[in-house]
Amino acid sequence: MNFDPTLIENALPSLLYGVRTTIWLFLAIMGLCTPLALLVALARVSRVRGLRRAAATYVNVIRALPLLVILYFTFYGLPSLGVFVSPFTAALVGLTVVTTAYLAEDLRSGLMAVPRGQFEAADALGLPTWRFVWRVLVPQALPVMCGPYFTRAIVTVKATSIASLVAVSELTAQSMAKVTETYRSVEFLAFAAVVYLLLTSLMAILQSRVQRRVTLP
Amino acid sequence: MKDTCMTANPATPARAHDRPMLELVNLRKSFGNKTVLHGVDLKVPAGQVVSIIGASGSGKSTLLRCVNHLETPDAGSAVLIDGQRIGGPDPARVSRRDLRRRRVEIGMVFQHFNLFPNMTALENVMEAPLAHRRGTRAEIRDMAAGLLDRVGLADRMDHHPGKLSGGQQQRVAIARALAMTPKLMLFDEVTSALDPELVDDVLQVMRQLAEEGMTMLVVTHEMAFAEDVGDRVIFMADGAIHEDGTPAEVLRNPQQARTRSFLGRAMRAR
Amino acid sequence: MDFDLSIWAVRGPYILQGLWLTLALVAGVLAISTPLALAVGLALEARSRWLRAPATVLSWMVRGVPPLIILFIAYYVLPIVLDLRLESLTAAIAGFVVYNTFILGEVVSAGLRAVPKGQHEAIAAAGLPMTRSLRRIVLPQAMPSIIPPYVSYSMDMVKGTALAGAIGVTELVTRANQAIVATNRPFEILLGVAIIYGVIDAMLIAVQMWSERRWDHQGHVSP
Ligand SMILES: Nc1ncnc2c1ncn2[C@@H]1O[C@H](COP(=O)(O)OP(=O)(O)OP(=O)(O)O)[C@@H](O)[C@H]1O
Ligand SMILES: [Mg+2]
Repeated sequence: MNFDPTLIENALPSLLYGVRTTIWLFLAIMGLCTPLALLVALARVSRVRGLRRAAATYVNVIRALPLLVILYFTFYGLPSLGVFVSPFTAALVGLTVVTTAYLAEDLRSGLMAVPRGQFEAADALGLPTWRFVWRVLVPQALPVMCGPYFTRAIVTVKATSIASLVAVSELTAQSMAKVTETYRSVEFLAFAAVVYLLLTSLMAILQSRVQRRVTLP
Repeated sequence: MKDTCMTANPATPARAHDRPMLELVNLRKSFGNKTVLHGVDLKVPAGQVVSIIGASGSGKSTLLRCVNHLETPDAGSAVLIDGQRIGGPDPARVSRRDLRRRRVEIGMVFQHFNLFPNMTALENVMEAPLAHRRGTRAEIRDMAAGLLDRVGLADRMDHHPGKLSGGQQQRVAIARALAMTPKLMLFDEVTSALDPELVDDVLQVMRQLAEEGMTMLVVTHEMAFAEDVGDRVIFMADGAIHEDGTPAEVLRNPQQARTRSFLGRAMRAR
Repeated sequence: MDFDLSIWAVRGPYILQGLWLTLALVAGVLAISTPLALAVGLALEARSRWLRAPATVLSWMVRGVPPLIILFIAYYVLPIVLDLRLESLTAAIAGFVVYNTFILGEVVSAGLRAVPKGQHEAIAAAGLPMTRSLRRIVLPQAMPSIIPPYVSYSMDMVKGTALAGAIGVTELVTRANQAIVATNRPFEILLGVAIIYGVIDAMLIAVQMWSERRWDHQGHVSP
């Protein structure tokens, strides 16, 4: 087995385009699903039963399905509903719907770690729900949520590769295009693997950094 | 159950006015099929300090928590506070506004303080007045600082709860409850989680509050406090009021066998 | 939009045949990767640095790369390295086994760490033989913290096998995709597939609840 680095060099522009797409896709997913997942997690612990039920149904249905099935839903389904979007957007929607469900469960465990007494104290003081959420609940849940949040981000980096199966030209797709084009697999798969490893390791480093900083006074 | 309970004449201490501050009529509460409160009637005049004693599980906490709707009673939720009726006949359908009013007019202090650990002592006290827009930030700050000064914590205002002793935390919690200028204060075993040497500071604050004329419902195991500071003692057993009278009557000369046996145990435990 | 489930009468049998492939893949991968994961978990917690270091590095690499890339490596690169032909299915099993072994290896290592230090010290103090005490003392105590994530990662595995289509394994989702392309009826077909996965998921949740109860009774040492 030989390894020819010049192959990568020649293909670099198209590979880097893939890297950029992967990073954009990842950032867009996290940007969208972070607030959405927090809302779903809050709905999961809400006192309103209907809200609780709806959120639980969403989370459980989505988590039962393979990501690829949901990407097919948005990739084939949206156009057949007359919503014509780019593969990137279709993948972004699908990945956001899925990541939101998983992240909501991660965040919920953080919310549930806040002691009951805090809810009661806020009740006894007559604090309005939203004020309680932003001033008491979320700040206290944050340190507990941090670890699972970054773990989910790492999973999401890896999950973006599946977008290659619904025609998004991200890192995996661009690498595989070169594999087909040149009949050389080792170089391009190694390139993709190393870039993903860099991205996930970066997340892991961020995770330990942030986790060290967020502890309650 | 209820018919066995003796309804002694409510105490008429010197300080009490005729104006009723709290009135509960036929308050009932059960968890599942376990009835915890069997129709409690209670009338508390303004300025009275009522100590509630009784064995573990007799429903003292539940009674207190029903008063400010931390637990939703099954019946008798309409309380009369300071002459104003809050809440309708159906406890499950209290309006948001009534609930808010009730929580604002009644302050509560918990056994485990339940301070917000992410805020300083001062921020804890300021939180509710800020939420209810009780004035400008500066005004609220001054008011909160004044309260912390009153409970002897002027030099601890910027500390987070984690950096305070249990007794200090509990005094912050009292200041926090007072910040909404409540008409009635509920205390649920507020000294039970404290080291013995820290208890007195907290009791001192409560004593001062009583002297200022606050109406107080105090669940406590501190018989000395009930005797010295309280105007009235209520003995609860099995979710009902079994004995009700002045401290001298209930603690020195209990009429009921159950009260006697409870007091015997409580005194020995001290 | 018209919604017509009758296309399942035509396409159903073909799609459903993929279900067997899916289940066979899951069963094969779990059967092979479970003992390997135990070995990896032990290596990750081993006292010897010569075991711990390579296990840690390999685990970091495998878990840092998308499973899809690992499948592609198994399909395209592995035959070159081994110098032999690999069927799609064999390559898929190989790829998933590698990924799963290290994912589950971390679960095992976390479970081992959850066993109180005092137990290890007691074993050492009593001079008990290594393998026997592992089997009789350490692993039973680690089980309650291993089983729930093990089952939950197995659920991920079931869903993850959908990726095998990318290297030519015609499992359930791949066949569904073929049917969508052929009929242009995404909703009907995907709904059917979703229901199948829903049923599998419900069954696995039942297994999970059963196993948690079982291990709680037998493995858990209450303080
Ligand atoms: N949320 C709840 N769900 C079910 N049962 C409850 C709940 N809260 C209280 N109980 C039950 O109601 C009864 C009365 O409880 P309560 O806490 O009012 O007693 P207490 O007099 O305050 O006792 P203690 O001195 O131990 O604080 C107990 O038997 C308790 O088990
Ligand atoms: Mg109590």
